[in-house]
Amino acid sequence: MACGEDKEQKQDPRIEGIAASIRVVPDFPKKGIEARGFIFGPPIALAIGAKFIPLRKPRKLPGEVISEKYVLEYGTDCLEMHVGAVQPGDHALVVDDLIATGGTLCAAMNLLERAGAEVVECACVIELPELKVHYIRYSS
Amino acid sequence: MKEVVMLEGENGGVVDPRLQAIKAAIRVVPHFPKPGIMFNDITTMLLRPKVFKDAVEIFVDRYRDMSISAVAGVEARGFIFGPPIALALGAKFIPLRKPKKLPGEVISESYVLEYGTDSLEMHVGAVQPGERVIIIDDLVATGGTLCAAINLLERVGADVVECACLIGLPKFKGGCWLNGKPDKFWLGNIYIQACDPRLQTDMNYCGQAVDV
Repeated sequence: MACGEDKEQKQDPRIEGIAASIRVVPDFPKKGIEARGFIFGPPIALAIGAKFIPLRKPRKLPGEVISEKYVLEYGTDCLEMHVGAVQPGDHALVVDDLIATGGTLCAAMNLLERAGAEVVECACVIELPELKVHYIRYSS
Repeated sequence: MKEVVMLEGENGGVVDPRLQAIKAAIRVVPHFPKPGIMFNDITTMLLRPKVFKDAVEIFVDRYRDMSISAVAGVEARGFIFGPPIALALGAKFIPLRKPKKLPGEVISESYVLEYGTDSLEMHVGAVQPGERVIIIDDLVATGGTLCAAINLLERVGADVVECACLIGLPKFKGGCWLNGKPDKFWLGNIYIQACDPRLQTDMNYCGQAVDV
């Protein structure tokens, strides 16, 4: 995370401007976050010369997919990735706008690892510190 | 009336060399999301960083000197192309989303699907009156979604300079009527034809009739 947990690190000067421009909207449901990762992922991929792989809700990706279930507050949901999007040994980065419980990111990591990729890191612009206790597995 | 921009040359016109690789990188998936539809899948192009970069650059080259202050992208595949274009142009990025996804105050525009209707939403205050905006989506099929997008932006007073899509059906080549309004041509698009014309009939066309 760019906002260093190591307090001795000097904070990246860009963070203040980013934090100031994010607004908090009370009482809004957290459904449907697949698309916001599409806003950040592609520019990052383009800048580092990497492939961009969309991870999507069921039935959105055409062709052959692999699927990973994950637990929601009520019920389950599912994330899908194209077969062949990653090759075994690829180094992958997972990007999303926000991490809450980490459930979606876990599903994302599982999808990539099942396909033989190595998940180097998950990167999110925003975290919700009050939900940190729910992280099942958070590798950095 | 804005000219329809064709980067793919016809009858001896100039062909952008980047288009060949872009076309080759897009795969057509038959009968998705339902029988009869040949789905143009851009995800294979996203696996080729150089080709993806070229696709973005084609748009940026066109709009660089047009004083565009905002790029609106249609959920969800418009979110893949819109932000890189916006960043390169130094413009705002505005997501146009399915209902109930955007928090806070929104305006909403309904549009007709093959069966039923859907709607597109935009945040109130995302765009100011008079701002010059382009709308991005991966593909234009019926034009219904883009019409809704144009309406959303014009309702708040924005100046929609152009709609730009990577892929378009041949019927958009010569411009087309939007919503039956004869004075409102297709505002212009950059497109390539990524499907085999022999596969096209009225009923069985390349692209999507339903929003996926």
